[in-house]
Amino acid sequence: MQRTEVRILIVERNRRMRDFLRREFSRRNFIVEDAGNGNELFSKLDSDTPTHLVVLAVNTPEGLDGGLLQQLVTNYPNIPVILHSYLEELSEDPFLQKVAAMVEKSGNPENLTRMVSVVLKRYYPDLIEDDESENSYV
Amino acid sequence: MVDKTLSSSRGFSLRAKLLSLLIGLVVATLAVAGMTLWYVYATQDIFQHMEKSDISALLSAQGLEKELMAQQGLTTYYSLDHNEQWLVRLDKHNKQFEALLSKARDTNYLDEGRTILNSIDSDYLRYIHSRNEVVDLYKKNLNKEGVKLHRQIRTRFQSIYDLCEQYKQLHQKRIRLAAVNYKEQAKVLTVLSLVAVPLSALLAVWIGFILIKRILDPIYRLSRLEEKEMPDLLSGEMGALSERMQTLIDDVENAYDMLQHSRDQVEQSEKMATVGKLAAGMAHSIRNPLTSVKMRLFSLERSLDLDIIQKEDFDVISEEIRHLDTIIRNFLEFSRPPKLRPQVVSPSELVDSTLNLLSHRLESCGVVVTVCRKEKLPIVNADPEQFKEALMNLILNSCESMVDGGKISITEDSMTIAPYGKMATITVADNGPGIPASFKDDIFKPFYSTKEEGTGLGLSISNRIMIEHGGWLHLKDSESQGTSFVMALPLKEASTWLRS
Repeated sequence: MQRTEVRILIVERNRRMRDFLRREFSRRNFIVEDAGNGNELFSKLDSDTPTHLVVLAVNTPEGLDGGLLQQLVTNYPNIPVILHSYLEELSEDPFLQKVAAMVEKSGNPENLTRMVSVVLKRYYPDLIEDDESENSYV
Repeated sequence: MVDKTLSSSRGFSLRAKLLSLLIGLVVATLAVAGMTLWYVYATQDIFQHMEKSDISALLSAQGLEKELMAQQGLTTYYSLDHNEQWLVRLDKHNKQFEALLSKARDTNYLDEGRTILNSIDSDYLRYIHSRNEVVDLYKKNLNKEGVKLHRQIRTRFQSIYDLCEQYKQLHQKRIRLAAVNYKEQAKVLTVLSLVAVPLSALLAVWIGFILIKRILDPIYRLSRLEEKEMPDLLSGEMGALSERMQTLIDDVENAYDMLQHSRDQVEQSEKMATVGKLAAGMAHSIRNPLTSVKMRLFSLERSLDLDIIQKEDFDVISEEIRHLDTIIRNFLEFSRPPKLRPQVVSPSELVDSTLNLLSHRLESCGVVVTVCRKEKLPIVNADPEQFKEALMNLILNSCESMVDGGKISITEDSMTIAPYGKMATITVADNGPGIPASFKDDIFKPFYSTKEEGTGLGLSISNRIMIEHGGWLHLKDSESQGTSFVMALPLKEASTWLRS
């Protein structure tokens, strides 16, 4: 499987940030889908096209307390979730234990892209064989 | 006078004193009552005896005299007219005399009286015998011999009368003696009453005085809560009661103060929770686009080839965004109630740990820190990280106020501070320029800063951390020679106000 076959779903309320992340991941040859809220997220997850990884920012209208994360990790346990958020704002939630990784939302998107590679390697070892292409962007 | 009375009797408890006085009063009253009863019985006895014996004997003596005198002249009258009626009257009085004599014998209780009555009896028998002889001579018309014998028995008659008079006087004397005896007993009773009544009155007054001065008056003052005037005068039970009341009032006041303190804290916490929610929402809303801006800048920086001026502009924009981010982070931290993770720790260890953390910063600022510590402070319940942050804010403020370096002294102490109890205090003093007087009232207010780059939250956060620990942060002093702050933490045994 090649990177162009890896489908990442970005869940982010801020459209501009969503666009930026889409662009960043597209540059790394990922297939990128995005969702601005929970409905769009689950609609895309339930489509025929498989999603390999979800990058979830908890500033969606439903928020963490609204049960979005709980629904996601409960109903789609096989899809790894990377939480992209301001970590200090997170309250203690048992479902945080079920995410694949957490990345602090900052001005440097490379922290996130690097973590995506790590998670993909862990969950889909045969998907990405080396990080050379990624490192070329760093 | 009152003081002397009270101080001289301080050896006895109030209970013992009151009991003694009551017993004394009861004894005195019973003594008077007993003596009065005794007097009544004694007087009654005297009168009964007098009535039964002496007066009766006196009446008998008077009857004897009367009956004797009634016989006088009747023999002479018979000698003149030989009328038998005189002899009948003579016989009648004779019998009455003998009856009275017999009655006198029955009522007599004196030896002397018995002797007199025996003499009367024997003399009267002889007199009667001689008088019968005289009557017989008159009956036989032997008047000459009769008159001669009649004259002879007249002296005997007088002798009997004298004896009757003597018997009467004997009982008159006994009645006078009884009267004297009665007077003596009355005198004793009077003297006893004169002693016992004032004694009872004195004891009653004394009891009344103690009741008023030692019980009623203090109770009245206690009820009026004039406790501060009492303790010097009170001792024993009332002193103990006063102390207990004072302690109780102090406890109530302390509890009220602590309750008020707690209520203020709860109120403040509720306000902060509300502000926190608002602030968190607002900060998140600001941070999100700010992060987007930062990402775009990152992307631009990666792709653009900037000249020096453009690079400087770019750096300033990045720096200002970072500053904005810091402000938002501090604001979030301030608005979010800190979750304390208390541990048993000595504040001295936290001071040392904070100074270690800041050692490079202090060195770069040219600040020398000295710690004044006699011994390690006792343990407290505190969140080490939160406490270190509070102390760190104070030290960093001092460093920033002393532009070209300076000195900071940290003094540790422990003391009892009402109503909080035993507290550990840490005084942080610098030799900086001090805080202007017009700013002193506002330094703990959030977002209040005199520094260009400051967020104005450092002291507010420190203050809140200390309050959450059940302590406080005070500006102790701030002159042109420097500023000193005091941090106070309740020691472990007094740490009941720790919140988490």
